[in-house]
Amino acid sequence: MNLSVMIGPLKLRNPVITASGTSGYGEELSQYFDLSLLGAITMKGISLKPMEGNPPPRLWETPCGLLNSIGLQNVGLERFLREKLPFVRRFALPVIANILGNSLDEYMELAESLDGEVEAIELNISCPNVKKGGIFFGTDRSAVAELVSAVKKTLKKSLLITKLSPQADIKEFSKIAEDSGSDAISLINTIAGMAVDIETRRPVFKNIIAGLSGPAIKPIALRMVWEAVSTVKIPVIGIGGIMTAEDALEFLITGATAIEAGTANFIDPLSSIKIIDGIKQYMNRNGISDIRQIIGSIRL
Amino acid sequence: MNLSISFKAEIVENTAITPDIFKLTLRPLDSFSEPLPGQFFMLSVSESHDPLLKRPFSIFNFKDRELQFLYRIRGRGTRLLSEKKQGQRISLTGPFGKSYPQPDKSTQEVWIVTGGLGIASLNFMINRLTGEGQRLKVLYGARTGPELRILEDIRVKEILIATEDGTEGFTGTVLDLFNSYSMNLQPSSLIYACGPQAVLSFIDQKAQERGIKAYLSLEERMACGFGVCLGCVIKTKEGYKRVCKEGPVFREGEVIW
Repeated sequence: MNLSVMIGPLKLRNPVITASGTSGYGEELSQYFDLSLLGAITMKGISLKPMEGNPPPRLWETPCGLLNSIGLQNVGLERFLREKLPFVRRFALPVIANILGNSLDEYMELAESLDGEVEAIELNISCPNVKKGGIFFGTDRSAVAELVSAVKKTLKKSLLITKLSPQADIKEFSKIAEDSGSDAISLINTIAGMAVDIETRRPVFKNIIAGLSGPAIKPIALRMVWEAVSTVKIPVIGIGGIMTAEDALEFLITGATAIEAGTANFIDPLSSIKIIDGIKQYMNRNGISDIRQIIGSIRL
Repeated sequence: MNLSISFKAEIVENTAITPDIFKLTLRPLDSFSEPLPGQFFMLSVSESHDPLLKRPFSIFNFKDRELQFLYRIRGRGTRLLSEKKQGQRISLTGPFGKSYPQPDKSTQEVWIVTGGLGIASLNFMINRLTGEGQRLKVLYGARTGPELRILEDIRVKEILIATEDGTEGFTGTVLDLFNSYSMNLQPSSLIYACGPQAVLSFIDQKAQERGIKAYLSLEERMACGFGVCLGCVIKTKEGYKRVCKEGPVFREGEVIW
């Protein structure tokens, strides 16, 4: 049975990747299973300088969903390269570094330093939880075009994945990413959401707006993946509320080449492994020998 | 992998001790790692996606391979948990978090300071310490007399009680009780405490003033319980730390309240 997929020239053992910000730098998950069973792992978003993140509260549960306002707490580029990367490199699997800058120069510096150190770079232009950068870039057409082409020119070895914001028009922005040289796109990041404490009449989060993830956003994510695969030729990585193998298969059938499981990791650290097993079982049950027979097999 | 971090358990007992405080006993159906006092498990309250997250619960006791928890109905999640019946199965992840450190050789006397459901985190440690012959004093606060029923399994010689309504023992909170006895604390005393931040910050301050070592166990909302979501952080002198991973037990003087 073949589960391997290609993201451009990059071969993944299977199409299941852990999403950025849901698997740290691999240290915690590695205590519970062999990371090399995964298709790939995406590192917690990395900025040039360490970031402290937002003040608590940072989490709010909603029906079938989770609002978060973590604010990209991370160790910064230098400590990532010195401490975190060598750890995850002990495992035989592709590593994706998710990067976030406040300016074009910062993205460039991050890309330059990480080129060849990781198999792929995921450009985070879609985080709703930080003031500068992030979503500010992700919804500005010319800024995205300029950023993607500049980073692409910088990269000599690593693959470039652009992570799109659900706040932007997916057809338009997936095309911009493709035309600007991105090797693949991933979508969606969390959807901007909000919660109010009715006793104090204050927003739950100090930033007011937070990012919604989990099963609540899956149908929206799936629709956006559909729009993306209908628009571009580059591989699309589906993200958004994938909890089970059935969820993952919906994305693959729709045309995603791979998927990222995010919030599912919180509920069960073994969920990515269970998704891989479930995909295998589905293939067995349906007499499918190659996962490529599933990808984009949607019948209209 | 032999010991799974994610497993199912069968409910042996889920009974009300007071109208809103429940004792839950689980028999794990798969292999799992044995927990240490002060650690916690994440328990599913629903097998569907709503509510989505598991909830963290301290281990009240671990005996004969059965896990015991104590909880108060506080929201929809704990309400759903309270409706579960004997024989039903639930999913767990854990054990997670740092355990209470053992007293060192210089410790003459251990003080356990807690109130309400804080005992859920400390009972397992009390059992371990009494088993080792450690001298200890428990200061416990409840809202009202009938809630003291949750102490019925606790075997300690010296236990000082406070109730907020004065129905039993000292009238006031556990902090009032702690305050009126704190002159008895010695530099060789060691405090273990669990409770809301207001209680812990007060104990922390007293411990620092008197130069006494204290281990404080914090509660916080969590999504994952094992360190990846970064949702349960607390401000410390060394920046944000994860209550689930670097905690839930912190030293005196460590947390910025």
